[in-house]
Amino acid sequence: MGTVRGCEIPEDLMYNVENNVWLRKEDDGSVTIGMTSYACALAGQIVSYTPKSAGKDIKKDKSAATVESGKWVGPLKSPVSGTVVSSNDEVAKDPGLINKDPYGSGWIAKLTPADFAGDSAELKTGADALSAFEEKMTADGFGGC
Amino acid sequence: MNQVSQGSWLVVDSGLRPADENMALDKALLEAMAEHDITGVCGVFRFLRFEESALVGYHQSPDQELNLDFCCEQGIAVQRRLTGGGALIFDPTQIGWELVCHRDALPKGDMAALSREICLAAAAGLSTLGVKASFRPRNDIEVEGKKISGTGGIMDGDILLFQGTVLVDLDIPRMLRVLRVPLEKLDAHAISSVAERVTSLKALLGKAPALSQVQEALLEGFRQHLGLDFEKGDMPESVMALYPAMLEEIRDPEWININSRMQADMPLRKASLRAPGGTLQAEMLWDSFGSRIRQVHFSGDYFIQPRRAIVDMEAALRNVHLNEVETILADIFEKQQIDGFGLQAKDFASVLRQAAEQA
Repeated sequence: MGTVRGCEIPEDLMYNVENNVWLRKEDDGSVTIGMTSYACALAGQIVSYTPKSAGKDIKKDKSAATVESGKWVGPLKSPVSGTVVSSNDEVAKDPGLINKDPYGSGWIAKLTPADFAGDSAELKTGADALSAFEEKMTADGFGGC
Repeated sequence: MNQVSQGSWLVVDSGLRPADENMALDKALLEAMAEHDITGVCGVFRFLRFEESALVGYHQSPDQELNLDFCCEQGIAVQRRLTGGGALIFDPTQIGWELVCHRDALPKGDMAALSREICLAAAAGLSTLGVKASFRPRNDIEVEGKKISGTGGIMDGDILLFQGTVLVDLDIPRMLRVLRVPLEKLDAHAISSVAERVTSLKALLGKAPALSQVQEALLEGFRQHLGLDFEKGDMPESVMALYPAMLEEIRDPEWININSRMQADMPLRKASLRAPGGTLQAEMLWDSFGSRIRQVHFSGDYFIQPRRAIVDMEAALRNVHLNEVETILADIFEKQQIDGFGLQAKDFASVLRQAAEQA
């Protein structure tokens, strides 16, 4: 598990660092996306989650769900274009799961990607992701998780 | 002073409008800012007013938060905000204010720190009117323990919109008929109880200050606290070009129905508890799906010091999961060194659990 300023950044996932989201390619070809631990630290305790419904087409970098923390609303932007397969019923019931387990049970959405090879080319992983997050945290003036 | 940006902010007064037009302007401002179509300024500071409206927060359901029959009967517009937080009423006496900008136009830090800085600036401004306004976590501005302004925001990538209200005057009986509140009976006692928790500039100053005076005071607060410079002008053309399409989106029923849940899933629950320090009663709007306290109102026969402890607990318990209640209350009791004359944090937690578990 990689760590940047105390924030866990698993090196086997893919990231859109600018939008602070992670993506995991599943064996069946679908993708799972979610908020990074860094995004959770910036947001604070998440109290609401409204996902896009199954069957909805989402364009790359457009909202797959919205979350709310401390009266701030924010979209979670999908790193790839695709169709929503499912949203997370457990998170709908307890949005705090996103903070507790952002890379596991706190996932945000599962999608069937439209052009995974094309869209994922810009995503970062491994050591590249860690250094990109370090750079982003410096720019954001972020002290640490 | 927390100086952040060089250059001016554009101050726009968009006047008195129906709620849907104000929401469409918010969408257009966000979009124009994201597309870098607003140039030559650090950001936009908009003053907005509403024809009588009931506004729910982005994630709220109108059925759960409002008395829709009353709104319909009285011609009160029901609309959804782009921003988070709770339901509120707006009438032409109230003033809305908002900032729209790129993230780097405001102080660095997490979302809670950013809210705090903006609320401190607004509180500093209101204080120039002769009231002692201060920030109350998470996102309120209060005067002597009574709320005078609520706020909320949206952060979309690098772009943010943060907005607040100023209660210049307030019709509490009407507010109680529009909003669902955690009170079983809406009688004179309920009105005085709400008056202990919410206030207005008119109530504090004896008369309502002029609109222009409140606007200037707010700008002064942002000048003093965040070092912002302002220049007044019209809404940018790039925003007005997007406005018709945004108004269409807001008027599409899909917008108001983004979150639509039944009122039965958010019942009013009540419990009371006898403790060594007295009798404590809790009335709350209970989100049975998410096991969350949406709003709570404490009453009963007890003494507590400081007196504001009750409203601070109620504010801290808004939209909180039942499992977090003990920690939040223990924290407030410790920080404020609350003396309940026998009534303890665990008693408040216990009455809430009783209300939640009520069949």
